[in-house]
Amino acid sequence: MQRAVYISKIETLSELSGSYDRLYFGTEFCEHLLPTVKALKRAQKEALDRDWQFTLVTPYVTDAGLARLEKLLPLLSEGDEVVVNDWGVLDWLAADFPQLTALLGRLLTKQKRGPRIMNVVDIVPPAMLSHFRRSNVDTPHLHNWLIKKMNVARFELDYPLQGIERRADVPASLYTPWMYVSTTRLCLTNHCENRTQSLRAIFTCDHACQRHAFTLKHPNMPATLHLAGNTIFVRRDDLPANMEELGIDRLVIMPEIPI
Amino acid sequence: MSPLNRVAEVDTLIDDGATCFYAGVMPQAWRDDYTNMASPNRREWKSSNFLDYAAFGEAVQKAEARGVPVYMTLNALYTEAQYPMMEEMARRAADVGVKGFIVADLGMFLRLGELDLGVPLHASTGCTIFNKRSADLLIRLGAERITLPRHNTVREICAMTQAVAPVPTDVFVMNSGCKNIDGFCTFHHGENEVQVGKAWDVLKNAGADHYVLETMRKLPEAWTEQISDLSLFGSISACFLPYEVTNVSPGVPDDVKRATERNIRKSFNFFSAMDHCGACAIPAFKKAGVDALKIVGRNHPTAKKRKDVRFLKAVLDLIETDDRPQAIIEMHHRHFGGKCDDLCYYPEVD
Repeated sequence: MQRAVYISKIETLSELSGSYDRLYFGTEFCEHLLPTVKALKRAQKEALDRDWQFTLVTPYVTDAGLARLEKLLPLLSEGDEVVVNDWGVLDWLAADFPQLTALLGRLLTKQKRGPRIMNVVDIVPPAMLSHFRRSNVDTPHLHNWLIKKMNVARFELDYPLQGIERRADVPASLYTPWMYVSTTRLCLTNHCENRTQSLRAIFTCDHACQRHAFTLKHPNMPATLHLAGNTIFVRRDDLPANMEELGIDRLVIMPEIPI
Repeated sequence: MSPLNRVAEVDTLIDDGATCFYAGVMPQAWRDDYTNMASPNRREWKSSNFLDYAAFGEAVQKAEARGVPVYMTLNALYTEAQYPMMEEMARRAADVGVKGFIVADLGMFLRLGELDLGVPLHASTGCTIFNKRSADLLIRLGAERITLPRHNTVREICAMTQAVAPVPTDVFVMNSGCKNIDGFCTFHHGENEVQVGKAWDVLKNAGADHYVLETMRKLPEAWTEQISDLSLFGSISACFLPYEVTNVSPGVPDDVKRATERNIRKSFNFFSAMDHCGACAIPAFKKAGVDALKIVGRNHPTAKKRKDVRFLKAVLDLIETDDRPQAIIEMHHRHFGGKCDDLCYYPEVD
């Protein structure tokens, strides 16, 4: 089992201890948190020094975010991996960066992660439960297109509360312990110190996500939600017992919420 | 582009100004295997859907007789076992004359392209198109129309619309201004309907949630906040639950901690289901060439759908001579009553 460590802040790098094979660096959820050129270079150097392989993690992006990625992708070396969470970025990699290895990120592997499935898990038909444990990336048409046309080499997965079923012919990574549940550009944390209205809006980013994080609890929600920046997570510490059978050969370990 | 879930609505909504419809079907066989929660079309309540093909076909043909197209929502994410039923659904819809399939799953895009049923494919908001490259990819996969996510700014929507022309774009302008991105949110809906069954369906069919919200709109804010905190309403969706919110960041002063918790708390309650409006952006959308203004709310009662369609028709008429935001806001107030400043789809604050 490969072990990767995933961080979003360059400062976290110096605090890392433990044995890993690979560094995941970047962000899945917000283009404002994409690393600078300087930070990316530092992360690459650090990975090289520690004999770790390197994976750049990228978010869904607007055209402005694409422009930022334009400065980062050429800095990667042949064989480096890119976690992709945007269809346009995937298409771009396949067309212009064939030397890089594309991994289909958690936002595009489309697992069903909502914890409230656990409120009904005992009363729904088996077909429905199996559906909720699976992803559309395993359907023949999408699977073939992703692997053969878009050169996707790996699927990035969470461990939803209801469990996983999947075809195991393409390797998968399992992210632990922070399972993402939902994300938005209408960032709730942004300006949370001084906002006076519950306005749904794309404000100028004030990086409040770097100062505040929240837990959200309610009896009807079977797990505590963790709101960090523009994204809601659930913490799950255990791992599937049958990882090999599921084709999971890499753990992506997050020492903190990747925001 | 109006939502549709009843045959009887077709003529009325066309008379009010609808020039195209979108609708979904959730047949009994599907519900038996997958329940409403794993809906075939991202509306996870029976009341949002036609429940059999006969009624759906009748609605499509009735609209077609008036020259109004109906687009079918096939915009969930499907697993392999569901494909036979989905393909049957698409074939039957093609047979009755739907004029477009709204699709979010790229696998379904590929499969429908292969089936070549003679029905154009539309990229759903679930395709999460936030940049030109994503739009180009979907167009290459066969999208002949693109629904842009409501989590773009007006400026981004206008730029994207111009960039993908002549492929037409749709934008959301009314109702259900959900804060989460449709294509990336994995919270479930329809859980109450599974748990409670018929009684819940009766309430949804009667438009109970809509009428509660309509009443709340007219109440003083203090009352609204209290009603919003009732879990009975909030349990419809994970986003409406009145959560206990705790700022868990170290070193935050108590007053800041309390203020931030209050602000986050206000983003999760039943009031956030209130019907948002983006009509002020219509002049910009029109200028950029946006093809269709999309109204959310397939489960809404006909009266609400009619109100929305008539309002947008009135706005389109108004902006021929007066496209000031203030004029549109005043029209909104006349149609719906109450303020709209907290309920804005596209507040341009960036």
